[in-house]
Amino acid sequence: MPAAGLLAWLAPGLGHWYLGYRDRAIVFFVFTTVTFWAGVAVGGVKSTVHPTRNGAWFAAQLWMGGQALAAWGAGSYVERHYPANEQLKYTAFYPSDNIAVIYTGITGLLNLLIVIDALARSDVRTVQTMPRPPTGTARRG
Amino acid sequence: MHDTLIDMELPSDFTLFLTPIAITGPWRTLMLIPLALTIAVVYKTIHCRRLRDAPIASLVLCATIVIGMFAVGGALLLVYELLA
Repeated sequence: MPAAGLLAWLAPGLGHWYLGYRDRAIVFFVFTTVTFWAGVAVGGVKSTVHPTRNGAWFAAQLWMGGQALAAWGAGSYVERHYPANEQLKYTAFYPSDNIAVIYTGITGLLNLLIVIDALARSDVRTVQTMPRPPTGTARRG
Repeated sequence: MHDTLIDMELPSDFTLFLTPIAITGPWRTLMLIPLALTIAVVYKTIHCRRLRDAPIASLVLCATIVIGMFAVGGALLLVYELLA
């Protein structure tokens, strides 16, 4: 069921919630969300989720799905609509920028693990619900 | 030099998620602990068959990561000092 994987990408834990693993879903959502936004708080939205500034880390951050897109959108809004003389105030510098990118990037990679786990659990459910041949019949192939 | 553990200074017009937080001194190292805790909790929540086993397993894994990282850091510092 790819729906579980898509939901897990959209919001951490949503795939597990959909599959009925409600307790695990809450744990995933709380821990990944708090860590991701802690990273954004350290670096600010303008510097943390940024496609050109952070290179490959951006790909890792995007695994946080909707939350990463929201942070990226907020950062783009600040970059475009805030006055030029205030831009420096909202830019993070070492080591805050590194800590922010590592927090958000690693949280994104953790959500990749959660997506894979949701897909694996949905596969197990699919196999368990498949009709089985009656007992005593010979198997082919 | 950092006189106190808490030496982060926030500007007067600080806005959460907008203004970056300047992290200095021991906070740079201490920021490892919450990240290690999240990694441990997510990993053990995936791997433990019974969810009630996850909290203790997560704490053990978190401690292992933190101690391991400090050990690696100490070893690299020792190598650096020997080669310098």
